[in-house]
Amino acid sequence: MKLLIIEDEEDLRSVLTKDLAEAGYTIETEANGSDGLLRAQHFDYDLIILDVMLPGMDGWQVLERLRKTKNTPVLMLTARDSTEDRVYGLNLGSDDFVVKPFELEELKARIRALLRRSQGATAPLISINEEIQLDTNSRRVFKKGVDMELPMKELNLLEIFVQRMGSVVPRETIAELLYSDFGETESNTIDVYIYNLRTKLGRGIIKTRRGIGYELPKYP
Amino acid sequence: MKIRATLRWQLQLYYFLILLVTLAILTGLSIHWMQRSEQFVHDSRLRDLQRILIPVLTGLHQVDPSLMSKVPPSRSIRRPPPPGESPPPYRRGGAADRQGAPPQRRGGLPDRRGPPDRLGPPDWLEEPPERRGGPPGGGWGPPTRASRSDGLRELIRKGWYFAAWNRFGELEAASRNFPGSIDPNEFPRDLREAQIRNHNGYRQLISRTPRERILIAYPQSILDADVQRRAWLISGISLALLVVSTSVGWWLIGRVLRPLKDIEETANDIAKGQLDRRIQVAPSSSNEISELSDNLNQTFQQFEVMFERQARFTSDASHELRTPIAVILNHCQYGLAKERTSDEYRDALKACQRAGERMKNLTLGLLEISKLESGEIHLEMSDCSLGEIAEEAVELIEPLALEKGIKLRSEIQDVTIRANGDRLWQVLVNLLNNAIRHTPGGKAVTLRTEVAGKQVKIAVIDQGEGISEEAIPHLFERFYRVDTSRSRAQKGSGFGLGLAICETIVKAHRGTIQVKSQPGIETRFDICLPRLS
Repeated sequence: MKLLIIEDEEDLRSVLTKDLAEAGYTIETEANGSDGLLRAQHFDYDLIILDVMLPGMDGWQVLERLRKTKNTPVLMLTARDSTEDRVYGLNLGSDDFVVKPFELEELKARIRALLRRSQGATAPLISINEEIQLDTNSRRVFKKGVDMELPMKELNLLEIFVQRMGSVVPRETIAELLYSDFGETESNTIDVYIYNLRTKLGRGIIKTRRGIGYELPKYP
Repeated sequence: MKIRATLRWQLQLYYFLILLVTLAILTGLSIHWMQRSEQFVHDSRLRDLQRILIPVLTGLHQVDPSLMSKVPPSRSIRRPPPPGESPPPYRRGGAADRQGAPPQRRGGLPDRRGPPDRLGPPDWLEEPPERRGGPPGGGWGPPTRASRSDGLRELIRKGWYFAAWNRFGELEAASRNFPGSIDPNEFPRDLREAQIRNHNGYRQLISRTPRERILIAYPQSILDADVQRRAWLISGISLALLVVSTSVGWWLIGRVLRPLKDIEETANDIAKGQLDRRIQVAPSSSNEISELSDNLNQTFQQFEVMFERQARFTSDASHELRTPIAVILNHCQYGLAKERTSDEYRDALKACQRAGERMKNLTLGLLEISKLESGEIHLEMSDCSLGEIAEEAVELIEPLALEKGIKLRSEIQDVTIRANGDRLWQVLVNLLNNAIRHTPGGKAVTLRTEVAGKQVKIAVIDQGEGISEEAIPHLFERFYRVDTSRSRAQKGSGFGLGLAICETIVKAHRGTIQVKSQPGIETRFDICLPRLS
């Protein structure tokens, strides 16, 4: 899951990045509104965390303009705890609101909830086949009831497939979603991850579509 | 409710009592005077009747004998007096004539010089029923025996009686209703004028002619009846006046006191928290109550302002503090989530410290504004050299300007002003700092001071990015940030408080501060201070 954090307060931005990265998300950040908007418009993210008070362009405007082209889930951070603000934001198109100061745990729970919803998953537990389930809450994969304890990147990869169950995922998309601009990018590494994942899950689960990409078929 | 009940009722009661006493006294006096006047009227009727009755009692005029219990011997004008007797008294004017006083006054014979046919019954005597419909203009027609008799009949019917005695005390003539129990010897001996006295419920007029003593009387009951009737009328009017006045008074008092009720209700509402309520003062009224209302309104305005200021302070503070608090909490949560390396802990702690500093600066900045605004800090004014202050400010800013490659110019005209040197320096530093922050390298920032009569003008001019038109009206508002970057260089700055603090300080010097900006070309802040504040 790739998240975009648009927050100008450096210390806050840094701790959010660290914590969410630790939770397994790929994080990209921007420190002002206009840059954040551009990035959000040009790249795909699973979720955008958007602060209201931003230099350049405030959070409301970013949201409004973003909504013209993109449906990305947006979670807004605000220092004002007023009903008017929340109503305004929700009406403009944000999906959730968190008031500062917040608990990191609460933030992560809300992020999970939003991601669940945006993927159309109704149950926290998604079955990949009759033996393997993905728990979206705890972000663990169970094979025959046993935690497979997948490393972060493989887990991310699986999540990408699960999110697009039944569709073909191009390699470029995988690369984009797995890696942030600020991290390492190596196409080869993707192959390694896919190989590892396939090995653990079992042959035939992730299908290759030659020339296009990979696909995780729907189950059942 | 209570105030109105007691005050209004009190006033009403006092008013009513005073009214009551006054009206009672007036009524009493009126009735008394009315009674005396009625008495006078009736008495004068007594006297009036003499001119009719004396001729009757002396036998000069004839009347219906049935009216008299004793008929006087008839006398006629033309009959010559018996020999040896003095001529009829009516011929002589009597004492009245000699003295020239109007005869009526002195009793005795009325003036007989008038024509005889004027001796009919007086106008005030009611017409007998059978005579109504007589000649117009009232009256009884020509005085004849018949008409005189009718008149007398009427008098007797009403209770008047009359009698005459000769000088020997023998009753010569009397009306038929004359009570016999009157002894002429009781009459005062020395009777020069007619006298009126009360006797047995009758009012008697006793007069003397040379030959007779005449008595005419009317029953007091007539007078009493009249007096009573009028007394009731007067009392009735008084009562009506009392009632009407009381009602009008009630209404008037209500009107005057209505503002008090208003005040009470408004004060109640304000106590419950509706701080924007005000007492309504009618523009036309200008009494103590409306003055009180005005004063109270001003006080309430003050309350509202102070309350708002307080609320704003609290809200601003809590709002601005949220982010640094979030930083601290989140860093702590992250740091404690699991075992971390020393470096990670150190980073977290540093971030917490930075946030703590920010909160400190913010709080101090807010407190400062709050105190300055409420006048809690009285800026100590002294004679300062503006030139010195300006130079010190420039000195502080110079390194910063140098670093950015900005030319710092100062055109300073030294003058002594009455100000708080430290605060003024703070303002200049703040403005210069802002100017430098918003100006690109290579351009210039100027500090200029000049004297203009009784005022001093200070200008900070830069050629930087300027301030947009829409931002200018809000520039000096607290927490207004044109760019929301948060530099934490100075107390309060970075929160949007810097200019607010500047404005407060300038105002405390009784000065003004203004800004003009053409983005990209020139931005200037102009401060105007009185030289001697």
